[in-house]
Formats: sequence, C-alpha cells, structure tokens
Amino acid sequence: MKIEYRLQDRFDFAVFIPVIGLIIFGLLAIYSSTVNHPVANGNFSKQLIFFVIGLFIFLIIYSLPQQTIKMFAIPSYAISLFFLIAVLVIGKTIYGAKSWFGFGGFGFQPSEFAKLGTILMLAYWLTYKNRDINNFKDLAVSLAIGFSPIILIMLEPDMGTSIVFALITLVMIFWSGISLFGIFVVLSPGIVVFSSIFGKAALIFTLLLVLAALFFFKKDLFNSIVIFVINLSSGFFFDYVFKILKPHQQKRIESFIDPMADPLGSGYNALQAKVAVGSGGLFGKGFLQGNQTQLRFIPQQWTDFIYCVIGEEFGFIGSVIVIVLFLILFLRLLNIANTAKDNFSVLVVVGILTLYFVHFALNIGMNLGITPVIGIPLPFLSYGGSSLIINLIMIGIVLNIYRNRKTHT
Amino acid sequence: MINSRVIIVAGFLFIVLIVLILKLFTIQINKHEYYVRVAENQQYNPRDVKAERGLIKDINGEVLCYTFNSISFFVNKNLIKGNKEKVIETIASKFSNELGKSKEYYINLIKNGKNNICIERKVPLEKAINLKHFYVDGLSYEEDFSRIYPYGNTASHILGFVNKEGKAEEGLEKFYDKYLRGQDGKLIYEKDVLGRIISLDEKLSINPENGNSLILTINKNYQKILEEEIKNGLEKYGGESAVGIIMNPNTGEILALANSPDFDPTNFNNVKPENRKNRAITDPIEPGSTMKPLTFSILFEETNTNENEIVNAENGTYSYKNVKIYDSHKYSDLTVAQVLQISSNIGTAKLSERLDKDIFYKYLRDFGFSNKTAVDLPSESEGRMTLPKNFTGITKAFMSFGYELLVTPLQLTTAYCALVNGGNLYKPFIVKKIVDKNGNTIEEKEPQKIRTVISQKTSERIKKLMIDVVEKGTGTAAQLPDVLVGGKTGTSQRLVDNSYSSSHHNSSFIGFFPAENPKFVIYILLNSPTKAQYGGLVAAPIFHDVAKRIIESDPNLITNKKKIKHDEKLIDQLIADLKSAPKTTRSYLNVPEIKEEKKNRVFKKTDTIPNLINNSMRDAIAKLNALGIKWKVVGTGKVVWQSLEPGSPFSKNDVCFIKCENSTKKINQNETK
Repeated sequence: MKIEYRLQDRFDFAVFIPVIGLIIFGLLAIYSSTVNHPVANGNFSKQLIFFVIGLFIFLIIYSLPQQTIKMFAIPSYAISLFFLIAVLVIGKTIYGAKSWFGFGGFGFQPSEFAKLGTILMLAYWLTYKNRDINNFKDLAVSLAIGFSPIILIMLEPDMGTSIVFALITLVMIFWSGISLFGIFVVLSPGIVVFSSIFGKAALIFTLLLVLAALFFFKKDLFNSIVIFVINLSSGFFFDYVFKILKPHQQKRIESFIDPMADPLGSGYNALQAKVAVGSGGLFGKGFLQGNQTQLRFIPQQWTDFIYCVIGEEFGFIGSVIVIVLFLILFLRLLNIANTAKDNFSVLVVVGILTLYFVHFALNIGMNLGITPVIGIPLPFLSYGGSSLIINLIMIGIVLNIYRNRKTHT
Repeated sequence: MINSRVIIVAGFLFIVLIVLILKLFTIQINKHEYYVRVAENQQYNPRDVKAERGLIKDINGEVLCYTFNSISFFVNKNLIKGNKEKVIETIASKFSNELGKSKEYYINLIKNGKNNICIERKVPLEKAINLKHFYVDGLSYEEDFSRIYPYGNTASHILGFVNKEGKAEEGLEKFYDKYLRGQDGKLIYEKDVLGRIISLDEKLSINPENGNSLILTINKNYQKILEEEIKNGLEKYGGESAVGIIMNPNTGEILALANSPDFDPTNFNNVKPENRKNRAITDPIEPGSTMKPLTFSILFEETNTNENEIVNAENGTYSYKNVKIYDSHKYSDLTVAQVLQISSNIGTAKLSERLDKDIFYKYLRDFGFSNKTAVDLPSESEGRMTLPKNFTGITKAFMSFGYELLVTPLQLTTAYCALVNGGNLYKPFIVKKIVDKNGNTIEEKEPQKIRTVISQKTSERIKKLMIDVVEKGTGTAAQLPDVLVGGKTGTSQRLVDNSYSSSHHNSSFIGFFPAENPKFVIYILLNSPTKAQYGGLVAAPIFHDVAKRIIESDPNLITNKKKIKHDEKLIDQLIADLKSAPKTTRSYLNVPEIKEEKKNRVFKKTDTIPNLINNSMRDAIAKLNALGIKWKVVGTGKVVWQSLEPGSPFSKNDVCFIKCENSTKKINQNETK
C-alpha cells in the first residue's frame, strides 16, 4: 500500500489516464478512417509505432532530474528557430505549405517541436530573476520570443500554427501578471487584424474603438501614438498579408465567414465534417460503420478531421466522452499549474495547457463548423508522429514537474 | 490557494466546453435527421429494379405469357472521365468478350455515334450479368422487360396486354395486375465522394419481389380449336364478329373463350380497338330463341306444363295484344316439346302466359341475368332486364323467346350450365390457381355454387327437350356421330338505328355434350352473318366442328359404343327462328310505347310471286314471309334483283334469292306503306 501511495504521489494518473484514453480513441478513429483507404491504410500501424516511441521518450523525460528541463529552454528554442529557417530552405511542400522535413517514409514538422521550444524559452525568460512584464522592454522581448517563430511559420505559410503560437504567447504573458493596459497593448493589434477580415468598415470601426480605449487609459501621448500606429499598421499589414496569401488559405478564411458559399470548394470539408457528426446521432453508427468516413467524403480525415470520425461512429456519447477526457486533463494541468511552487514550472504547464486547449478548441470547433478550417491537429487523436511524440514529451514534462513539485522550497 | 488567474482560465475552459457540447447537441441530436438525409443523398445512389412479372399458364401448365428480361446498355461520352480513348476501349473489349461482337464494332459505334448512344439493345439477362456489374463512368444500363405471348393471338382477349410503360391494360393482365406485377425493388449503391459506386448497401436495398403466376382453367388446345373454328365460321358465313365460349357446366370453369377478330397482344396498337373487345362479356345482346329452354324450365318448375300438351301455333301469325308474333312455319297444333324443337315463338309466348311476371323475372335473375357473373375478367357488362313493375303487356311474352332483354354470351352460357347440370348455378371463373415464384400455391379457386335455380328433375326434362332439338328440330347441324348432343339455336334480329333489322342478326347456338352427363357447354355466336342467318345454319355447324375436334382430342368422351342413329335432317325446320322479331319499329331502348299494328296491312294470299324490285329489303322479306316463301338475301338496301319472276307460281320448296343494294335510308315503318 505504501508503494502505491508513493506512486500515486509521484505520478498523476489523472493526467496520464485521460491521455491514454484519448490516444486509444485516436487510434480507433485512425483505424476506421484508413483501413479501407488505398494510400493511407498503413497509418494505423505507423501511429501505433509513434505511440510506443512517444511513450518511451515520455518515460525518459518524466524521469529526468529536476531543473534539467530548464536547461533545455535556450537550446531547444535555438534549435527550433534553426529548424524553422531550415525548413523554409530545404523543406517539403505538402498541401501548399513548406513545413516538413522528410526522412525516408517519415516526415518531421519543425513547427511542432518549436511549440515546445517556444514555451520553454518564454517560461525561462518570463521567470528569469525579477522580470516585470509590465515593463515595456520586457514585454517587447517576450513578444519577440513568441512572435519570431510565428513570422517564420507564417512564411511557410501555416496560419493555424501561427495562431496557436500567438495565443500561447499571449496566455503566458497574461499569466505572468500583465496589467489591463498591457493586455490592451498586446491584444489590440490582434483584434484590429481580426476585424480587418470583415472589411474596411469593420477595420475603421475597430480603430476608432482603439482610439477611445487609448483615451480611457490616459497614457502619455507618445506611447498612445506608438500603440495606435502599431494598430493601424497591423491592420493594413494583415490586409497586405491576406493578399499575398496562397489562394487556398484565402479561401479558408473566406469559407469561415460563409462556409456554405462554396460547398464543393473550400467549405467542403467543414460541411462534410458537420454532416458526418450530425448523421452520427446519439449513439453513432458504430465502429467502422460510418458512411461519411468509410466512403471517404472527408479527405485526410485522419489528421485534422479525426474528431468527426468519432462523432459519426460513436455518436454524441463518444464525442462528449472525448471532450470530458480533455476537460479532466485541462483541469488537472490547471491544478498542477496552481500547486507547482516553481514559477518556471508553472508557466511551462500553463503554456502546455494553452497549447492543448487552443488545439482542442479550434480543432473541434472546425469539426463542428464554428471555427475556420485552419489546419491544426487534435492533440493525442490526430494522426501524425511529430505531433503525438511532442505532445507525449510535454505530458512527460508536466508529470516531471508534478513528480518534483514538492522538492522546491 | 486558488488564484484569480486559475478561476479566469477555468471559467474560460468551461465556457468553451459548454459551447462545444451545445453545438454537438444541436448537430447530433436536434438536427440529426437533417444530416442523415444530407448524408444519404450524397452517399447513396438508388436504382429502381423492376420486379419480374409473373407467368400465365393454361390448365396443363402451358405458358401463355411470360416476361423476357433484357437489359439495354448506353454510353454517354460526356460522362466518361479521364482518358476517353482508353475508357472506350475498355468498354468495347468488355462487351466484345461478353457478347462476341468485335471490339472494333463497339469502338466505331461509340466514336461515330451521338453523345449518348445505345450500344446494345435488349441483351438477355443471363448474358448481361457481368456487364451489369461492370462500372465505368459513362456506361449505364436500363432494364428492358418485354412481355412475350408465345402463341400470338391465342387467348388474346383473355390475356390482355401490358402497354409500353408497363401498365396492364386489359384482360387478366389488368384484372390480376396486383398479383402478376410483384413488388419493384430498389438497389442502393454507396458512392464515394467522386460519385463512384463503391458497393451495394444490402441493409438498405430492397430486392424486387417477383410477381405471382396464374394458372388458368383455360385449356390451350380447346382454346385453339374454338378460335380456329369461329374464325373459319366467320370466313364461311361472313359477319362482323364471332364469340365462342366453352365451359364446364359442373364447375363453372371457363375452358375456352374466344372472340374473332382477335389481336396480337405484342402489337396491340396495330389493331382497331374494337378488335380488342372481349365481346363475350362486354357486349350484351338479345338472345333470341336460346332463351326458350330457360322459359320452359321455369314452366316445368312452376306449372304443370307437360311435354305432350297441345299448344295451338295459330298457323304462324298470332296477334298478341295488338302486336303480331310470327313463326316461320305455319303449324296449328304442336306439343310443348315440338314448340321447342321447331322454335315456335307463338307457342312459347302462349305458354309464358301461365307464368306470373314476378316469378318469371325472379327465375331469370336466379339464372344470373341482369347481374354480373363476377367472372375474373375486367369490363364485364351486367346486361339488362326491365323490372316486372315496368313490364308492358307484351314484355313477358317477348322475353320468353329472347327479346326485350340483354344478356352477355357469358351470362347465357352460365345459365345453360345450370340448366343442364342439375339446376345449380356456378360462378364462372378463369383463374384456377395463383402460385408464387417458387411454385407455392397462394390461392386456389374452388368451384363456387351460387344457388340452385331449378330442380334436378326439371333439368333432366329440359335436357331431353334440347336433345330433341338437335335430333329432330332446328339444331340438326350440331349432331355428332359418337356423342349425343343437346342444344338450342337462336336467331335474333339486331337493333340497327333503333329498329330491328331483317338483315342483321345474332345467330347463335348453345349446346352441351355428352348429353347424358354434360361435360361441355359450348356457345357460338355470329354477329350479322351474310351468307345465312339462322343459328341452326350458321352457328350449329361451328359448334359441331368444335365439339368434333374436342372429342377427337379426348376419345374418353365417347360414351356410346354404338354410332348414334340420327333421324334425317329436317332442313326445313332449320328456318324456324327468324320470324320471332317483333314487327314494330319502336326502339327497345326507348321502351315501351307500342304502336298499333296497322290492321289493313294484310297481304292477300295469292299463288304468284310478288314484285319485290325497289321494295325495301325489310318489306320484301315481309311479303315473302307472308306468303310462306323461303328466301335468301344478299346485301342490304333496296331490292334490285329477285330470283323468282314476279307473277310466276311457286311451290313450297322454292327459295327466292333477292339481291339488295345501297341501303342508306333507314328502314322504318313508313316505307312499308
């Protein structure tokens, strides 16, 4: 009994079991969507191998001594940036984005690894000695750390992953204790960019709101002007970026605004995913019985649209179970973030939580047709070696932190 | 301690979670049906599969009608995806392998044809199985069923036909459509996102239920005999149409039923619609003298009328309630039996006086008149009888010898069955059994006795009288060498333009054999024969030929070891029927105003032939009849030539031929003035 108690104390099953559950759901769904597929029918076994490798690395990370992870922060970030630059030069272009290294039959996505590197680096920077996040310079550096990979990733281009990075950066800064004005400064360009999607009128209206907010905060004129100019330029910058986006990316954004406008084109996946989920009903059509899936109405379903396989074959009940497993994982991560004594560890856990959550919300959102189809995988479920292994490494880090949570003073 | 950031993050987590679950709920639970429909529409490719129509067989299992399953294949060049040349070649080589024509034939056909071209028409199903499951974009097929009637025109009126759209139009095809048709199926193919057919969804597909088959009471051999003989008769004696029915009097089974002219059910469009009419059940007629045995049976049943009683036949002309009734031969005293033998209208009318009109009517209803026989064929007429309360003074008398009522040939045949089988009326029927595609019986029809109309004893007495009709009376042409026959002739004037025509007759004979224990009742009717009019001269010989051939095909029917010794045929007596027509021009349909017969219209009896030239035919015949001269008419209209010189003397055996031409005027009373 004593040993078991210790194990419980050193290993958080409330994190590990939901993760394993999610991976099993993922394996079932991958099997179902690829078993009859002429090209992708090996994906199930590949994913199983990735799972085993991931589990192995997970155990290594988990067993690492305390403080080791912190030491990885700068190197991993540096390697991340190196990879991200390298992939732009020698990467493979898949689906219009240059985001892959290919090794034989396998591929590696540096942006997946960069997520981890960026989280570690941000946590490291934000908790180094006595940082003040409300200090403009510190904030600017934090943003620079977060947004350097974003710029590289946008060059691939990979909108979805960029958004994930942006949100991780923002949440980690937020968690570090930023002031309301700080949040405004960080968020307002994002809001301006977002509004510019909906046209000039929306953009001007948002800019007026920014002006009004600046009056409200009553900061000195110079700062206010700088902030407004940043806002203004980000709005026009995005407009410019939108124009240089690849047509399929433009379409994705457009189809988000009106998914039914072009049901056979860019809105096709969103619509078909919804049909798959909707036709599943309460109990689903049963494992391997989902027609949308088996008849391959959703291309590449085993990656970004894995959730609609579950929706179709396991129904509302299966879908909710997956959501609940994620909920348990999130709450558990939040709990660890709350109880960890070491600020670095806290921010790492928060970063990982944000990463999972953003993926979770955007991916399921796009499966259900409430968020744009931006091409990000569902953690633990979607097919993809890089993604699964990195996610397991992060769980390893989290559980390593959990194991060492009491050794800090 | 929980800090505020945790609460904010946790709150945010829950909000997103609730949003996702709510959205899941709306999609999966609330709008589930909608998405299922959307999914099915895009996933399924339904294809109707026609059920195979059932067979129709005769009583011996001979197939009278079956369905030929075939498939036609089409290529639509616009729908071919990918390399057109290559796809066309694939299709061509597949078809060439399966059907044996050269590959180049198909390639040329497709390349030189229109965009959508039929490359094979009506390929038999068994050859097309592989081709049916050969999926290429642009290639499609259509099931092409055709109904085959292997014996052509045989039994065409019974079988009916199915039109090009597969709708059953007439005959058994229509009446039993529900059974024959079966249940169309639906094959549901799953198609993938590119519209390619992936597989057959067996759970959702409904296999077609093939139709049931009919086994008829019809005997194809008898049917053929009957058809050939009435056709021959029609050629021999002229006329518009002919009807024949053979029934088993002991069960009501219709063994054959034929109409001439007939049609080929495969090319039903190429004939006039009236050729497709099943006159045996759709066209009621005034039966004429064939009615008399029924009247007699009622007399025997209800009164003490005795076969040997004497009735005065009034020398051929009888004024009954101001209407004249004629017999073609003058007799003064006749026995009751002789009244039937020579078919005396006067005698029958006089005897009918003994019957109460309500009782008379009730018996006729019991025999099935003015009521559908409920035979299993479509468009049956119920005929027509005046209700007793609307009888005029002469109605009953005229009905007693077959006027003032309308009966269909089938009604009369059914009534005769009761007359000779011991008095029981059976419902006529034509389908004996309905079997499913595996041969299991679904429905078997038993003979259905409706009621007993007359007693066994009366039946025997009537049978005997009818045997005498054939042996000694007007029906001698129906005699057979080996089998004893009974029957009755009938010749009725037809109503043409609302008046009785002396040139248009329904000439009929209805007989039964073997007379001791009847197994067959055969009815023959010729409409408007031109070479002769009397049923005994026209219809009885046809009956004879039909019966003879039936007996030849089944020697067991010969019950008498010895040849029957028939009396000499009394040709004179054959000419007994015609005079029965009421000599009024009132329309039957506008009953019943009776105009008084002109008293002064009496011909002086002279010893010379009258001049008939330019008389109307009707007038001429009336004159000849008044003098008791036998006659034969060719054509219609006014008399243009007569064989016996006017003013010349004549003897009893002379026959006066008259030729008439160009009758456009109505024959009416005024012309006789």
